Amino acid sequence: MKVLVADITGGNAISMQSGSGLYKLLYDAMSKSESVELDFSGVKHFASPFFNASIGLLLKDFSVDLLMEKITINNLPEFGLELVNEVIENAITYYESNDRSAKARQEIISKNTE
Amino acid sequence: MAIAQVLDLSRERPIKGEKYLVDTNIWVWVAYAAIRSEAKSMASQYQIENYPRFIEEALADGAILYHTPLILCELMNVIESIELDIHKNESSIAHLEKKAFRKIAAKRQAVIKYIKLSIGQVKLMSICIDSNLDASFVDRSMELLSSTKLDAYDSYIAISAKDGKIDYIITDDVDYCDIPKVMVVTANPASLRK
Repeated sequence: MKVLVADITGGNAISMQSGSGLYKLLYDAMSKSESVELDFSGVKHFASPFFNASIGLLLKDFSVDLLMEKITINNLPEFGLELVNEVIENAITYYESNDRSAKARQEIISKNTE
Repeated sequence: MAIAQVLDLSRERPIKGEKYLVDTNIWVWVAYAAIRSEAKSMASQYQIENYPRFIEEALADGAILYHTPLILCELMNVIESIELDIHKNESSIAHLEKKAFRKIAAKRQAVIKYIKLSIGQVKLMSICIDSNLDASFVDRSMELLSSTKLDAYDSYIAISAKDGKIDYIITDDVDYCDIPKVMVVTANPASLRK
């Protein structure tokens, strides 16, 4: 499936709210194991809250390997790609750390309820 | 009682062709917090949601956004301070000077990376006002500093806005409400109560 990002955001992909619109679409596609080509033609301004709420949030439910396999990005300047990579790296660290905290909490609960 | 005109960002629509100076704290949430979850967790929900949305609306509506070299300088400083705090917290260190922090190669590299990515976004979304930091500029900043509760950075930023004929300042800083003849666009409840 090819998605023209500007159809969702217009020329400005900055806010979390705009990111949420793209996230729903990507989430549905990845749940069905569909591949998505994101075309950033026509997007003049972009910022990390948008990438965080669209691509970064996917890492809560999908692995980075699956994300890399299913999503391709075209017509985003090199700086935009750097930003996307950083958002992904940050999301991996964030969700791994949340998992560790959740597991630690679970262990404490189990130990104390045995 | 505010001297500036304080406008509620959640109710305002950006004006086409109007100039807006975007303060450092806004760029922290728009450009840096979303690539650093530890920094994001320090912000309020309205800060990470409302300000990026307004920036997006402003650009879509044809408003013109500005920054100053001093805003970039302050942003670099804020990022380094937050990174130092994160490091101290993660390593359970009570006290570490910035100079010592800069000597930790991996941390220094991370700080530079976050600065580059954040500044890159600011420059993508806004235009730089070139300020002439001469003696007269410093005198006018000192005058503003003595009549308000602004810090030195903010007084420089306010004078830069005045010199650039920019009436609107998007900020979360309540102290800007004390500057005469300025329109403060904010989502900060404390500023809106003034």
